[in-house]
Amino acid sequence: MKKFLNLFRTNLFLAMGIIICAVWIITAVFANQLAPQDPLAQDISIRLQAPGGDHWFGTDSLGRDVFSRVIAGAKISIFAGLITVVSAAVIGSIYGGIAGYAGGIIDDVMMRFAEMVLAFPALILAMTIGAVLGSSLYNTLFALVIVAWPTYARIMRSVVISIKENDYIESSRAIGSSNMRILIHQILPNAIGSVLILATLDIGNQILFFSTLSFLGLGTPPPDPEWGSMISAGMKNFNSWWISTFPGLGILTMAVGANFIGDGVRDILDPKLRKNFN
Amino acid sequence: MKKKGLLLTCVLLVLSIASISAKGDAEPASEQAAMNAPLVIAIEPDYFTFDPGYAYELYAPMVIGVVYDNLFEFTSGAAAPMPQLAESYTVSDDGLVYTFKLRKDAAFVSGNSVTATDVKFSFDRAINLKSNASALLDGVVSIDVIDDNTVSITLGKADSAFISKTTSTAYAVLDSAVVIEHGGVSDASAAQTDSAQNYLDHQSAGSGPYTLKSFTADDKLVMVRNENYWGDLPAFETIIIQDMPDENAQLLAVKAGDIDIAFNLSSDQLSQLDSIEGVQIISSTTMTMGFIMMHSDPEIGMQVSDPYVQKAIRYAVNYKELQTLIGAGTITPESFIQVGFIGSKDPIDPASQTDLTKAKDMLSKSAYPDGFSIDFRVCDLAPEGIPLTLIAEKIKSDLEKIDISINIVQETWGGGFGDAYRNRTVGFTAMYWGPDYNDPNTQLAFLPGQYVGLRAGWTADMNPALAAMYDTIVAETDNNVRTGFIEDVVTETGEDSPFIVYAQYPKYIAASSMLKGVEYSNLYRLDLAEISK
Amino acid sequence: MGTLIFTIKRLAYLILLLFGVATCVFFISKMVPGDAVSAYLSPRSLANPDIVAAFKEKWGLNDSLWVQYLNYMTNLVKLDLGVSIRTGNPVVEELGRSYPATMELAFFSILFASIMGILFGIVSATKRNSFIDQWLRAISVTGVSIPSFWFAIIVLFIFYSKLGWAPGIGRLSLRVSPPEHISGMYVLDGLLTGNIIAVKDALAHLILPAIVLGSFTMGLITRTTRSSLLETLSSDYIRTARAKGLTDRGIMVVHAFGNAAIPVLTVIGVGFGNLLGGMVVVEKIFAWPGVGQFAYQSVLGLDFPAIIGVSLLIAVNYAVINLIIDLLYGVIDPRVRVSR
Repeated sequence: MKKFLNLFRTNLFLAMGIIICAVWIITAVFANQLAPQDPLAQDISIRLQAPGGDHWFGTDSLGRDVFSRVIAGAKISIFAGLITVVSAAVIGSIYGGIAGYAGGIIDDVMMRFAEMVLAFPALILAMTIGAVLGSSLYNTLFALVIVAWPTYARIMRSVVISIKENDYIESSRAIGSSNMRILIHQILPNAIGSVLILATLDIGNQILFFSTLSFLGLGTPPPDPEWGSMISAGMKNFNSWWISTFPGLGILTMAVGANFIGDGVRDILDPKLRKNFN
Repeated sequence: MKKKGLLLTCVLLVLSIASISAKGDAEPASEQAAMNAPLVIAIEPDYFTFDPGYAYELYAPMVIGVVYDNLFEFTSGAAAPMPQLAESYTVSDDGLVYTFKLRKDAAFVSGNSVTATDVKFSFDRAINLKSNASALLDGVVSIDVIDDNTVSITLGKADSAFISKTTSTAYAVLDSAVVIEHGGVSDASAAQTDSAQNYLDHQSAGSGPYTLKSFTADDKLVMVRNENYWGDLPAFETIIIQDMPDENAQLLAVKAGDIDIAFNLSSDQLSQLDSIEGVQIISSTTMTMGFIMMHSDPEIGMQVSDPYVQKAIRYAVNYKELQTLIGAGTITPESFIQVGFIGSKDPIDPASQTDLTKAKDMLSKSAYPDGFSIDFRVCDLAPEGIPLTLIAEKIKSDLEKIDISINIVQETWGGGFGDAYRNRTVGFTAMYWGPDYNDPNTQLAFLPGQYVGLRAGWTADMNPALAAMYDTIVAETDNNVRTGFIEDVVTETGEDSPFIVYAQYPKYIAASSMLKGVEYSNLYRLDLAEISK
Repeated sequence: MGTLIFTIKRLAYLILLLFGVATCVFFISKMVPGDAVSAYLSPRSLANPDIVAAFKEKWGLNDSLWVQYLNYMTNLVKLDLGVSIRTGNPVVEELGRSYPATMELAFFSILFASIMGILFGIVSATKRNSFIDQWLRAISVTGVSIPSFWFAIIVLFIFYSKLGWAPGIGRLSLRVSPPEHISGMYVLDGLLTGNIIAVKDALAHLILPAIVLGSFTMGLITRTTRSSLLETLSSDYIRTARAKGLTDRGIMVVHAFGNAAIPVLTVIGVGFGNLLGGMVVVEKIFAWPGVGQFAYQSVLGLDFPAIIGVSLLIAVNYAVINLIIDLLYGVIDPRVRVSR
């Protein structure tokens, strides 16, 4: 606790990020207990009510409680952000690790492919994949991962290449360690920091990207509440501003929190690596 | 010091951009408004072509209708088609050969007069392009030029809706000389060799009161008055139809007076216009109907193929609340013949149609007395601005009350749903339907054995008597007799079919109150030539 | 000489990249459960086998996959991107129409992002850890965190609907006619033809979407400017300068900024690339008739000739911008020239 208070003094943003994210994670985990009403319960007779009374954030066009839906929506957004980042980091790191370690023509071909994916307009690629596969949570996550992994591959590869040149790899090769052994025991632990920095910085982006896709109609199928699709439902009617304003604030605060943490983690882990991630 | 200089420059730059632009919107409007102002209509477009040989989208007829003339037209409010380019017509006794006398004073923009050759060329081209529009000419066997002003059309089978069909855009009469000059082809090779679409999308070759001046997809369309029009000249010299896919933007623009007509408003927005002076609201009922489809083949429909389950669902859906959701003016037709067509019945009382006790009773007689859980596939379309997914959410909550739990599966129309729907493998869904032409015969596609009926697994041998009604009605050229037959279809299918028509959608248009003659007419259009100040 | 070879190499790589992008989208398009038939033919036409057959023949859907691929690639080499199934117009023509609109918006949002970002970054770095630094950092994080589709709705609601300060959506007011077509970018064309009414109106319409679109990049630029300035400010040669008696912080910042420019330039380039992809949502909300709208409509309709066209265009953009940045590195800092 003392350490945390100290953090406030030394790194205000990191501390704030931790608090914001903690609040959202707790909200997501205990969504069922925290939501004052059933986020799916419809009541046409009270549709489009302004915030106030029983409905702190008002009601939507089917008469559902927006407050409860924002709370329930946190679960899906956090889940989507984490799953995407973890999968992309794992896939990208393995890919980039192999490319960097193998070197030569294999490296060339593999990285050219990764760069091709990067050159794709991300949103259009993800939308196309979503449209082709049909919109469900997992298809959308799949599309997100497809778009996200090459960045990790690039970082991992550059780290692996720089470590490979190091003396201690040479020496372990000299004592007869296998390639696999070297990869797992020497290179991975050294590279993990860089990937971790990128990953924490990336979570906010992925949450944003996921909500953009669901705003465009590719995400979780209704009636499950999701922030992006709530905003798109709400923008049909400016008069009922509360339908889209509150989920928007949800995305914003969550992404701000994630970015604060990302910045903070980067500063702590390796201030010198800073410029690679901007 | 240098730093401050840089800072100052930046601030100045931003401010100057801001100040130039703040003035920007006020001035031009006042400078140009004084001139003969165009009629500006904002629309959420669905069209991308104005070639009558291809156009099929709902809102294309609004444009094509004033650019081209047809043999017959539906004027607003009219119950029956009125002659337009045709002066009179005769039908052979077997109902197969229609002979039209054309009026002699009609001329195209180019100055060429409208002749039988143009009619033949246009219809042949529409048939041979094999496009969406061609489907409306199914059944036309041949078009023969008798003389310059007489054309006869031979059908394969008698068609009681043929004259109604000739009012649709596919039957628009094009200036054959101009179209040929720009690559138009009307023979059997047209589908591969015709290259006139690009020309017809940006200019036009018609005899209507307006001509197309320009069209930019995702932006706007401009029409100018045809000063040589053979009929009465319309009031506006220029009409601009501006793409504005967002209905909020339409509302704000009509409030601000930036546009004259907002074509796609939703019910929930109307209250915002109550206090605004100078805006009139035109509410009407469209011919768009939404329906729930329950596949009758147990392999595909699974639980919902059970007739008792179908009845239970029919009583469980809360039509009253669906009407509230879709908006004021929504009605619930008894069956798949929309209210307004000949032979239709008055809309049903939505409140009395919903009866949970009856629904539970029906379910208890079915093979699934304790309810069940099933996938409900729904695509990304939004008839009249209301997403089908919203309807699906409502239906889900209604059916939960009788222990039917539906799992909404969202699909895109192009990415699978369309194919499955066509291939008759969608078991349980909510879809919509708008008539292809202004006649109840278009609705007979829902009958058993017909192509929409078959999508619900409703084969002719499941109800041979009802299936036979199709041929009877299509062949019946006496309208009074036909009306009776259609009424029979409504009665037969009101309670007993794999389709539940949950609503006939309303339409809201806001227009400047300076305008006269803003009237919504079937199908899906404003009569632009009738609008004046 | 080194620069020339480098450029040629990069251009060769660009062609390879485009080939890969085209191949990928082509095969994704063939993974669709159905085909374009159900997306474009009406229910009534689908019931008519003649029409379905004619449609398939017209769009070459009957040929084997490899023949279709070969045909597509052959046309691509001839710079023929095919015809959009949705609009019936050549894809090249559609892109030619929508690209200037997008470039105009992209240019102004990058302008906004660079000016504000660099300004914020410099202030932040010079006033490190002050109150104003904290605020600017918070703003930059908000910039990268704010969902653009939501931001767009909010600014439209406030500045157009409630306050009436900004004009509505679209590129021009409805009653202002666009300037004579030269580049397709209204501000530029208006200036060239002396049509000041159109220039003012176009600028007014650019403000909101440019800010919405630029906020993400602005955040990135602020961050990068701040951190690279801090880095160079603490580096040896600034220390040396200080030791030599240089005390004016302002001059120091200018010196340092020259050094910090490379990462900032990179971010601007990356931001520009991202913008073109991020256009989709902003153009949809602001009814901007650009590439993003075209892409959005094409994806919804699974209009693959159009999707491939858009993807290629954006990939070319991405690659060309990267190339320009790499070349600029050399100009700014001669030391990097050879090593790259």
